[in-house]
Amino acid sequence: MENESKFIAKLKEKETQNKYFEILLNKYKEPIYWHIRKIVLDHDDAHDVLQNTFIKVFKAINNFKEQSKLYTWIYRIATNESLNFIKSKAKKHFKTSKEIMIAQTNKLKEDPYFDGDELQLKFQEVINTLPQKQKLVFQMKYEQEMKFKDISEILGTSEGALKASYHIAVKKIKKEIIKIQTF
Amino acid sequence: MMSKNNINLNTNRFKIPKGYFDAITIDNIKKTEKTGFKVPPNYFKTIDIDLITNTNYLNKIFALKFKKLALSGVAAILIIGFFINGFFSDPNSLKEAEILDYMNYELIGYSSSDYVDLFDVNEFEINFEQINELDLEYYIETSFSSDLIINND
Repeated sequence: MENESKFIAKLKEKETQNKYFEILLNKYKEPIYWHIRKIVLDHDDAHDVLQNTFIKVFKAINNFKEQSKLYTWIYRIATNESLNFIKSKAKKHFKTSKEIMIAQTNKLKEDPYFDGDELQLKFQEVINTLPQKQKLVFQMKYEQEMKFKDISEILGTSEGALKASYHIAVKKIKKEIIKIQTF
Repeated sequence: MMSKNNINLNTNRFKIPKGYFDAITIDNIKKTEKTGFKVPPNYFKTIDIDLITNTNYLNKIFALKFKKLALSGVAAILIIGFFINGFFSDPNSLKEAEILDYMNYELIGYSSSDYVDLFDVNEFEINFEQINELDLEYYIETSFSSDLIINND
């Protein structure tokens, strides 16, 4: 915690800001990218959101009050940026966010940066059927193996509610995957 | 991940371009922030300088510019032409249609002596041989009031 406070202090100082921001960027660019990518699905979209996220982090670092951990704060920005990106895309095309994600999933088959097979495509389709928050919980817990405590800080939801939501999500997905595997 | 919740599925279904994360640097992010515009990773390395200096490419550019210039010139000439036509036309010269209109609408109240003063008879190309007596009588009866005829007698 003390080290993090010192690190944040260096990030806020003009003389050391660039150097420490570079360290921050190198540490978090990959995990944040994958977090964003699992939400928006497309690589180019994920790249845009990733850049926007770090621009926001760079601009807002002086206002960071250390009420949460630095990395949960960055994750929260990344999550909000991803959801806002989907919302604005939906608005542009006069569709709902869900419809946009279904369309995005349908495009995955032709996407050169999608490496999955038919089953993994179906898996993505099933994830799309989950409510937004439940989808996020599932992705962060199951796919990124984050702790419920951190997910709770990022999403602003209690740990208990997250655990319940995650449990229901796993049941739903397992049921659908078993159905597909049986056929 | 061998918990009871394990769905037992490979979730690594996404790929990225080669060297993608190496291109994410503070300089690139700052450039995006300044301009608001973004470029694909390694974009500048893919610019083919030969394509730009290629003669055909340059010729196309020149041809397009010349076309634009030529069209602008034609448009300018047309505008100047209309302007000259409007500005230098003689305001005192009357068109044939204007003369006929004047004769039809403005000369109705004129007397025959006024007509004689206004016009030179020789200017009118009238073939008197074509006018027969019946036409002449009709003309006299309809054009002059009986009071005038009585008074003139």
